[in-house]
Amino acid sequence: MKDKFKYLIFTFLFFLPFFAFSQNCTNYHIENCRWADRTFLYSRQSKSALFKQGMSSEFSIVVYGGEEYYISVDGHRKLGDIRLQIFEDDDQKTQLYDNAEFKYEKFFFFKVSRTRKLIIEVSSKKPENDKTSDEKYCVGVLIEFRDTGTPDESEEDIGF
Amino acid sequence: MIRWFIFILLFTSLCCTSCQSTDKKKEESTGFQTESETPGDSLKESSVYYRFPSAKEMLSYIKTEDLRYRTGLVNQVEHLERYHSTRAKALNLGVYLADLSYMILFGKTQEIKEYFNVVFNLSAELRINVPHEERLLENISNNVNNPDSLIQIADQYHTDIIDYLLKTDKEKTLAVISTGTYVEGLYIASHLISDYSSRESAVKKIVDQKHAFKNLTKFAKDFSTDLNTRYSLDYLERINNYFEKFPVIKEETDVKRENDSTIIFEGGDSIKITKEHFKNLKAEVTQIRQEIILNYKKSLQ
Repeated sequence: MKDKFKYLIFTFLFFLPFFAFSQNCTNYHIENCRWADRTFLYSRQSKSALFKQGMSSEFSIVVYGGEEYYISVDGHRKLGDIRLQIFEDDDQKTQLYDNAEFKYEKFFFFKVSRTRKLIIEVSSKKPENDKTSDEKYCVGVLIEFRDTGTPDESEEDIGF
Repeated sequence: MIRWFIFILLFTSLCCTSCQSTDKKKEESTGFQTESETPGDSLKESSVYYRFPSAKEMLSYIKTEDLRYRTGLVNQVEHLERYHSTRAKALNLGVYLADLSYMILFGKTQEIKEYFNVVFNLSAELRINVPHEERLLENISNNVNNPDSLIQIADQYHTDIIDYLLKTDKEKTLAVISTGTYVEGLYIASHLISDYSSRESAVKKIVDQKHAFKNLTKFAKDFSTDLNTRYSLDYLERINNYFEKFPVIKEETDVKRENDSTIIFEGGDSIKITKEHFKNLKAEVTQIRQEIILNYKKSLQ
């Protein structure tokens, strides 16, 4: 009995550091973000990353004309509200969406008439006492899509 | 008993310290960027991390009801023995993954098991350790006549490969594999169009891949110190040169709210296409694809 107890403690303590210090965010968006209904398909452009409080980071995605997209964002509760902004990926970097205008909504849908590149900027709130902490937490952005028909072909810009 | 405890505690704290120190190396890496581009300790990460749609996403987008499956477009299984270098293996793993997506998407599942085997072999040779491979093979055998399940299995396997490469910091290998996938995807798509004028909407969708190629190129550029990635970048740049020749019609994007949760992005830049431009792009993609699957380079001929 005593040996069994020793063995259990040893096993527990041996694995403790691995659990305590590993922080892999690779699948955070899959496990934590809210999913759309089953008509939407998972996009491999989804991404998770480690965040500190009060930092911003961005990534560029490609969205196809004529498709409907669903974006859902989620972060560790210690990061507070996560701000998600979408910009046109061009020289002007025109802002197209900001969830801060919608009470930091965690998900939304959008349709695109033409294929384009978008920049998704994700920001975590600054700590209230203005003390920057080195603690890092996961943030995930889940992207899903579904076909809605044909892209915008109103302009006849094909052919000669 | 006490001595035992002291020993265990000492051992554990040693483990903790070593884990912390290795973790610190990773500590710098916050945000969506790769480690190579994380700028110092600034809280505003200035670089952009580039994502791109998968081959399946690309091909499903291009596939329209009037496009018919064409045999002879996929890379032959017999070519496998030509691929000895890591670069050839990675590029052609990408090619075969795109071929799988193409066959599954059109419901042509007769040869699917052979192609899965090729993909498994190349992954193993590249030391990509995807979990539950045996179970996957069994699932494939049980679902040969069920295209929906096969799509799911292939998609899951592709995702597993990407996850593995991301988790093990092998994004440069992902860049090379994705180059193979994209070249093959574009090759297949452009060869499905036999008559340019009657397939205008499909042509437009192919040309739309300019954006995806651009993002893949920018993603690969982060690893340009790697010889294999540089080699792949050369292929991507050759294709981008043709994409750049397509004139772009500038137009502002209009944002509308359709309902409480749906937004519409209307308008925006569009690409103008001519038959000549498309023909040239198709010829260059065919040439590059040939170099990849036959494992030679044009300049070395």
